[in-house]
Amino acid sequence: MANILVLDDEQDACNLVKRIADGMKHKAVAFENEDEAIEYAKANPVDLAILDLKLKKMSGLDVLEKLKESNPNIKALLLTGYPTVETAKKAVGLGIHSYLTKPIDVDDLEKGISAALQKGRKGSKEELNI
Amino acid sequence: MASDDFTRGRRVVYRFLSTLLRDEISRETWDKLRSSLFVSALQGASERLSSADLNLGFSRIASYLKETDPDEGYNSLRYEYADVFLNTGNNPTFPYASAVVVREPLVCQDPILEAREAYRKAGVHKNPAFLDLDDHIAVELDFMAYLCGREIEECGQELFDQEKDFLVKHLQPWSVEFSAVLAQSAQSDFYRGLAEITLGFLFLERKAVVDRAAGRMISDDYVNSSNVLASVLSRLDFPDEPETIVPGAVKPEPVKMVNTHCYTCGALCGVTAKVKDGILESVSGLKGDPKSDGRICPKGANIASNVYSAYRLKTPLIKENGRFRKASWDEALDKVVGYLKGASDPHKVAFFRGNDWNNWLTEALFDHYGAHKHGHRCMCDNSNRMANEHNLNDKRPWIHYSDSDYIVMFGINDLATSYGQRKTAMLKAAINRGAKLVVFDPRRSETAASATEWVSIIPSTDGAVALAMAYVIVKNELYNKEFVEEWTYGFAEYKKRLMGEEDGIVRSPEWAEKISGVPASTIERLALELAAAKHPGIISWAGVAQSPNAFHAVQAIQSLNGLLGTFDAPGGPSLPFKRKLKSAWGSGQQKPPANSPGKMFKFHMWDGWAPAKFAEAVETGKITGMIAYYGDPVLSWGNQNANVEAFKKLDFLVTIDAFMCNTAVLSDVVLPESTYSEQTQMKADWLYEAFIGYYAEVVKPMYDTRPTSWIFIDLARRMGLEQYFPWDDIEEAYRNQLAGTPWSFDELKEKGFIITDPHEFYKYKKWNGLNPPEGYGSSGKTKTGKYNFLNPVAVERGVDPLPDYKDPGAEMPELKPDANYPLILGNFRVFEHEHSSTFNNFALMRLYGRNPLWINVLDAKIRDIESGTTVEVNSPYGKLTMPAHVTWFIRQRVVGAAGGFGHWKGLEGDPKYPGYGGGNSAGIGPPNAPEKFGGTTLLKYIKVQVSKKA
Ligand code: SF4
Repeated sequence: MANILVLDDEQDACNLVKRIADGMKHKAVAFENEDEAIEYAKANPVDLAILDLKLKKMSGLDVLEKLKESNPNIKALLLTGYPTVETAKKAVGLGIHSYLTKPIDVDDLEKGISAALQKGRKGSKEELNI
Repeated sequence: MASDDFTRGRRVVYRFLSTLLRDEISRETWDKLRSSLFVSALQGASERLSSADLNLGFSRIASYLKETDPDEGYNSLRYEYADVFLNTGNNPTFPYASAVVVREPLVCQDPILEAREAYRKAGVHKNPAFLDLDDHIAVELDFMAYLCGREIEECGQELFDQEKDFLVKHLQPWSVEFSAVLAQSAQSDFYRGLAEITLGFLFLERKAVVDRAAGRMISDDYVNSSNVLASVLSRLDFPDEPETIVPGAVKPEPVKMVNTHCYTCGALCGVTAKVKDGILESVSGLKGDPKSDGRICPKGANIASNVYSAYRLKTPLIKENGRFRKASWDEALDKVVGYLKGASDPHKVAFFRGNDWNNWLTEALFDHYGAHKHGHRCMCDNSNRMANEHNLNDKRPWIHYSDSDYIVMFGINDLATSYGQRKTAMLKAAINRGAKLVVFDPRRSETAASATEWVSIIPSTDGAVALAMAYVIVKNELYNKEFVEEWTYGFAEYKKRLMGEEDGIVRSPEWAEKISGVPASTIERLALELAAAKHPGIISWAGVAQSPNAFHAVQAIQSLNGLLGTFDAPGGPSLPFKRKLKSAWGSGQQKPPANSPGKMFKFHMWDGWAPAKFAEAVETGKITGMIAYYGDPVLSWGNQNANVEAFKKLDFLVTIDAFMCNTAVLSDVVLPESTYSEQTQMKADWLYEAFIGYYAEVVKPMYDTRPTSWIFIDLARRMGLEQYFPWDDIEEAYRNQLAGTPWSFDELKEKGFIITDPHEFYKYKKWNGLNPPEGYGSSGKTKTGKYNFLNPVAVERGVDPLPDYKDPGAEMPELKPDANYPLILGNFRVFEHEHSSTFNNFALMRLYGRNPLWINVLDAKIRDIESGTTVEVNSPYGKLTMPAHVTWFIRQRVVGAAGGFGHWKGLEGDPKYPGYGGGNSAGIGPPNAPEKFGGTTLLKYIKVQVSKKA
């Protein structure tokens, strides 16, 4: 069982992701607010963060940077409705495990979560300096 | 349901992207792209698309096409293509699902199998004429174009599901990261734009497919954009039919197990490779093989990461206007032949081979041509060879550890150096059962760490310690009198040397202590223990050989084996012997006659071309052109700056390698060799037993690479020498080599090895001398048939023939440490790497990817250096910057770093992976200054100063 943090400013999306993660027997905690998510991650163990790219105050990638400050080993999946070259570059630079395009495909998300939580080499991807 | 027009439009876009990403832009495509109608249509379209990335991408491409000069623009795209996709640049993009999904520079991972499965389901496969991989972005885009074509002709849920699954679950997710990397590594707006279009288009495609699957309408925006694109791109008139996908489902190849040998290091361990669907999956040790006996090291276990390194060269390359571009084999080989034929004097051309792969073939061509040639000898241990090859029968008589009870090593890190994992296992077993292992080394190497006793010694003083041990043994009459009497030559002279009867200098422990820093009491105790051991053995290697005084030092060390009569005894150095194979030129075939260029340099014990004097050879006009096969001379010939300048002065330089090594960067033509796992060779070999080893083609040559034999035979034929290179295929030559012998080539191929002669102790008694009999070979020959304390060839050449310690500054005073450069830098080998050849193997780089400078705690303290501090290492001949590793495990006033690092391109040079890479520790040695006896590069004796980097 892994500790998963979910952050999406849309409640429905939050619930859906949390339900999928819980359904995989992980412990997921969902947030719609960036600061609360960051505070939570400072005080609690988080193995994997599933972040929406477009949030209200910050981008999911800015949040990931903050999460990495307190937990450099944190793994992350990024959800986005609209990928761009620029956001993809930054995401890869932060070593996100995968980049999932919305609307979320349940299968894809499950596969993404399992892949990111694999032990050793397969679970941790290189941070590309791009 | 989507309309046919819409689907046709999508196919046009897929075909457009596939064509532009498949290969460098052809002149025909370039002309079509540049036509004014197309450019203005593109500009018009770029404002009418629904995605920001698409708009931006098309407008970038339109401006590139409009604003660049037709010829310059075309050429610079070709150079850019080589840099970005063919690994000639240092910031490549890997256009493969595998490399992107695992985010490691590796191809042929799980995603390629996924792609193959999807093609199979759809009844197609990758066009074999397209020499790149099945999960190349162009093939996957073409596959989508193919599915669009099918959709126009037929429709059905199954077809739509295939399209949806491939796009949503496979292609689109990795295309995002691919596009991001391409946008960053692109040098022009053309490829940057292409990245944006790929990302934007595939995202819209995904959305449309997901909408269709959910029964929603495809957005009008996308339908409109797609129509606009189709109308513009169809002006290019690219064929509708995919070019990299062809009909016919191909079944996965069955799993096969191939017996072969690892060629990563010189140990040549027997391995069994598991190949699944044509892809090398794993490697394990080959049981019963004399070198491995079922064991391998991390380098052997990670052969697949070498074959599947994403940094490999894929096509021949030619330099033009200072940049590389793709070339065909015809063009590249004709250019090489043009250089060779046009050279004013073939004797001024050099052929360097950094390995011995099918060397009977590669050398035959260049011996006939008349080039100076060189192999491994002077880069490694020619001083050692000049001692051992004249005093006994071979350069490296490895110890047979099975009965060892006392092992003494000088300058060899046997656990990391290996020469066969079976031998390593025997050494470990000996240590475990209580054999005493004494290691003399200024650094606590892996072997020193496992030893019973690590004796820290001042570099280049091993000879003094060995002589003093010999002195103790002789003085106390503890030597093997029977062996000395019957099987040695020159003992009386040797004894006089030890006792100081010639020069008044007694080679006593007290004398040696002053030189080596090893206490006299330790030397005396170890000598007495050694003499009392039942099965002792003494060995040395490159740690000694790459020093100025190595020739006499190796003689001194080996003389301990002579005194104790350990040759071929249990626990002693085993005398090598290999079967001589027959000629590769069978009946009616003629070997090309050699055309000797003469000897370029004269050393005290050997004459020939020593690459450590390369800069001088170029400066004095002795070498004007070169063919460099493997081994990366820039990283292995000593002083880097001097050698780089010399390479630049050559009339031509051709490199044959699997990777863009530093020498390739300086070359005019680069020929991409297949890795050893994609080609074959056969070799007579030895480790205790004499045997023949086979090196199988485990997987087919990848990309447009060719086996060494193909390259050299083709070169020969283009030079008009076909009559001397007559074989239908290389197997015919191997069969010739075994013709008339009791060994069957087919059996050898199946088993991977055939033992021709079992191991025996005391072979020399049977042979009636230390040289093996007729029909066998070894690398050296003792003229007396005995072990020589007094080297007869040295006598002939007027060199002091006896073992001794010579001051390392005796002939080269400028090399000795002084007030400005008080430390000695030594270059060492790490278990995870082999010379300069393993630095694009990501699995090994994960294990050892940085090159810190080992420095003693006290030396570091006075320089205010801590572990991790960036330091400058300055010699009179160059400078390195590296992180420090502060440790007690290196002697004071000695610093050390691993060799082989320092590649400009590939993983070490790739800014995307900043965590990997290091400095070339050999590159700051003295230029044109090998040791004087055998011409060996002095990698273990470089005077330096170290300081904290400002
Ligand atoms: S020691 Fe390792 S690298 Fe060398 S041949 Fe054996 S398995 Fe290969």
